[in-house]
Amino acid sequence: MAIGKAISRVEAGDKVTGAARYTEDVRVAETAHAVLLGSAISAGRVRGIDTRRAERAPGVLAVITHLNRPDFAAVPPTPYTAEGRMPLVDDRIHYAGQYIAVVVAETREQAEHAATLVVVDYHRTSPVPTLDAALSQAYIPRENGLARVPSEYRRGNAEAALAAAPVRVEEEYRTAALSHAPIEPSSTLAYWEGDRLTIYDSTQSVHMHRPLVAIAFGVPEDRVRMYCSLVGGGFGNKSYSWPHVFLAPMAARVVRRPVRVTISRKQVFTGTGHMAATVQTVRLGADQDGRLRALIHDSVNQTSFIDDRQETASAITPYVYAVPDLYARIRVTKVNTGTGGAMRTPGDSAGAFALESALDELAHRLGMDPLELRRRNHADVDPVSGRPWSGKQLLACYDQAAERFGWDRRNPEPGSARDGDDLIGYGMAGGQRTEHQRPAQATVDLTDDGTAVIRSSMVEIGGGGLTTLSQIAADGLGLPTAAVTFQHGDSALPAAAPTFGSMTSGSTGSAVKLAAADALRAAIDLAVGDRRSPLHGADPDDVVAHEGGLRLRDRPGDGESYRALLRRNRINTLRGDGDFQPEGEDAEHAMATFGVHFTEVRINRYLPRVRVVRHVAAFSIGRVLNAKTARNQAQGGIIMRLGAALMENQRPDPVSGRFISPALTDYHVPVNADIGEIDVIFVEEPDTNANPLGARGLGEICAVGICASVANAVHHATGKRVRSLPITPDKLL
Amino acid sequence: MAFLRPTTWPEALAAKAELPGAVPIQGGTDVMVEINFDVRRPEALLDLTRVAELARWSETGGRLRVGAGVPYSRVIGELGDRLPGLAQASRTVGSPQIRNRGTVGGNLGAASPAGDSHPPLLAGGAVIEVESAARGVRMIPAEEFYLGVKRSALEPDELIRAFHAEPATGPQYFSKVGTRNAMVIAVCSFALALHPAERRVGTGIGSAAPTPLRARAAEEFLAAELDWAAGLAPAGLAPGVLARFGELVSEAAAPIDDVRGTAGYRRHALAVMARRTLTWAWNDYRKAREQCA
Repeated sequence: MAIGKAISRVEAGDKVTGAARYTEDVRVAETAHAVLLGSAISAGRVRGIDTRRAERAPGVLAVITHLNRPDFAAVPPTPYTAEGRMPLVDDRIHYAGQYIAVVVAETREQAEHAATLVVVDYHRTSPVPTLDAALSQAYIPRENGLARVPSEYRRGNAEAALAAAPVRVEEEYRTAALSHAPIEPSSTLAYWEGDRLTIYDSTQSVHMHRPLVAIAFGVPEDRVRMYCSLVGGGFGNKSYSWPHVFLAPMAARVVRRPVRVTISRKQVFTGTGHMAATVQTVRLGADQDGRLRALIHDSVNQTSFIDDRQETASAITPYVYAVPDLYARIRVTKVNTGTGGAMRTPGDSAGAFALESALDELAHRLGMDPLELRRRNHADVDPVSGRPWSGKQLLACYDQAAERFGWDRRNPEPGSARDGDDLIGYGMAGGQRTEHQRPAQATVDLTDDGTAVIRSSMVEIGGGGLTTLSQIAADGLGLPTAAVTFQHGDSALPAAAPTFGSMTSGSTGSAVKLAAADALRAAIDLAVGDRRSPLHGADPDDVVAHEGGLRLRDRPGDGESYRALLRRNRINTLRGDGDFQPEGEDAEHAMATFGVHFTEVRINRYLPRVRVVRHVAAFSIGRVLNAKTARNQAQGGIIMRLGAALMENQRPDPVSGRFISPALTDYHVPVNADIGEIDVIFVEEPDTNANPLGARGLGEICAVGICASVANAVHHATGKRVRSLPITPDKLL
Repeated sequence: MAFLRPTTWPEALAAKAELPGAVPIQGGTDVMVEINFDVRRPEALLDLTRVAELARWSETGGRLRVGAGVPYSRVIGELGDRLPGLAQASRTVGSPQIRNRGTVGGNLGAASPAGDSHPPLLAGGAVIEVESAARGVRMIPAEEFYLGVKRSALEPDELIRAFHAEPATGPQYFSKVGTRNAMVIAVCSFALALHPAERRVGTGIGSAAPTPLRARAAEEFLAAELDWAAGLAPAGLAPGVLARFGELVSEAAAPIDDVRGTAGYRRHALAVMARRTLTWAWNDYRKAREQCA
């Protein structure tokens, strides 16, 4: 079996030697370079824009503004068009950094220089700078493309149940705006041949984004070919087509040459979204024995003046615990900031901080072990639909992670554990993520040299999909993983599910499994019908794949290699088709992924910086496709959220609303020296209710619950409850 | 933007005299960041990496003269025994790659209040050697070098040639708080040097005022309180001395709230770092005295 094996990524060698080709590495003859000029103000209008000096600068081919731009054919639909307003469409400015001009030149340096020569006359208006300034204006967004989930959910009468509950916790929690901060700045290279558009784009899904570009430029979808083989980190910000994706083909039309736009490092922070800051209130009512009677989770997030985009912090709440009376609400409020985007893990990471912190507060108030409190409120079935869960192993996750961590050694008294000047705290928190599925297609070609080729448009974003999907095809055909190659990241290939929303394993993985099975079936049919085959006349159901060929299940000696079979029949390629169609709303089971986190912090009592020295997590994700890439992905997700817990904060300027730290010099993500021991457990059980492969997603669930686990550990260490992220030392003085 | 590459010191001085707007560049770890961020676009860059003498250091008559182009990694490797405070500070700068490129001279040129080398230079009583083609050499004590946020006593036609310091005669320590554990600009920092021969204490505060600065009242208080001769008394330091020293250091600072930390936290952390570095230094001093005795 290749599936499950801890093998290194198939593209690892290319990545460490620099041979891997990212979007910026693509070279096309005659390419011109565009630089995007961002607005210096965060609210107002462009009263005038003088491009004359820029146009005369060396190498400049065009300067495009709202005054001279070509029209877009249409506004493609949100949410995967990141902003509902097309760039340069008018003179209005909604946020600092919003693109107001495109400068195209022979070289990037010439374009950068010319962009400094553009003189903008701004009409400033008074910006709404921060979430706090806009909090009183919060509203429930109308259901448009960006309001992706219902804004309200109600069961029972939560207010009455809360009032009647003997024990209550009612607190406000805050999460900071966060930046995805991937290593690779987004890049788009576009060129036209008549009405055919070729576009290399750093996207997490060529098939989700190709139609958006086609609509914007009014060409049939099949005239657009979009490529992206590897993404150098996205974490959600490349799930969308941001304005630069549309400006590159526009500029290419204007100058009639290929045009590349690579946004600057700073524009990564302003031009490709962020996780919006939230203010949440959680109100819990419980019996003395810890049974939850009522739960109210209310969230407000900042959004832009362009779009109503929810950070869906309370969306998961109705599904997590067995609470009879529950109310959840998501509101937004307008701030002069860019539109937010999905960032690992959208909604649930921020929401879990509030919910799982509040549960810890409740446990403390009840004098109950926080893990026991969660056990008592375990949702045996989906509390929303009443359907049974598919493969929920959360209780086993609790047990195994608690044991590995040594949770039973915890003295519940805050401040009770010390080592010299270090205060030691143990904390825990749970996490849940709804499992998403989308249709996915793949083919697997069995070739006459005895190897196989997967064809599917999947983009490798660093999670390991090229490797795990190769393992799936290898197992399906009885080949070693090294005999499988993967054509991917091209919209001319069968459509993969997007590489976001944790859908690669379950959806695209299932398509590959089905395609491999189809190819195998074709090979078996060929063999049993071929007089010259040792398998001639056998019942196809008795034939299995084995070590590069076919053999009879019961008589291992009788069989032949694919190579011999195909060559004898003069067939170069046998193609298997895989088409995964998820079950709809009427599925028998409710599907989600589950996790639990245990964290040990050490805090020097004089200089109260929080150090996470040990973290143990356990996840229920069905079948694990590759023990090494899975562990690596889970550790990455945990580290990402340790950043949110302890240091990351994309703070707005209180006057202008502009981000104060749109650069890696001040927007700090964790470094190696910040990370202690991270142990990851998978409670594995193939979940074939979910899909034929039995695997659910991992990329998002691994990043839910960490911040609360840290905050709860901080409380245990110090007795101080920090309800506002990140937990910086000044909050512990 | 012109790019000037002198190969000798006189050429460098001449270039600076001719184009006072030229920004000297060594490792580029500050200058290139500012250019990349469009903080400034100087009319010229004056690349000093080809002026070989700047990358040398020497010791004559019991005094060190360290060229402005000696990178942090060499301060650590070659001068760690003689300038331990500065070497400790150098270890906290960026990553190995940045320590290979960045220089103390560059840190002085940028004169950022957060520069890591400033506190140990202040505590160690370093003197900065600057020079212009027109007026020759000026020797500026570190304490008089920093004038404001990213402003120094350097005249437009002057270049930093070296800094001078005495090899440590007593314990020296540096402490820094960051928002993470590496690759970080100081939230605040503190350096302490004991000068037993003169029965004097040196201090340097970083990232907690418009300029790096000394905590003079703390220095004087401590110099008077320390039992220099004995150094042997079992307790060594009365808790009251530690606490008061921390308070005086904290009071010397004039911090602000910014993205890296709050003013209140900076004052608090300075007191903690002052007490810690003093405890370490005094323990070393006592041990050394015990061994002598």
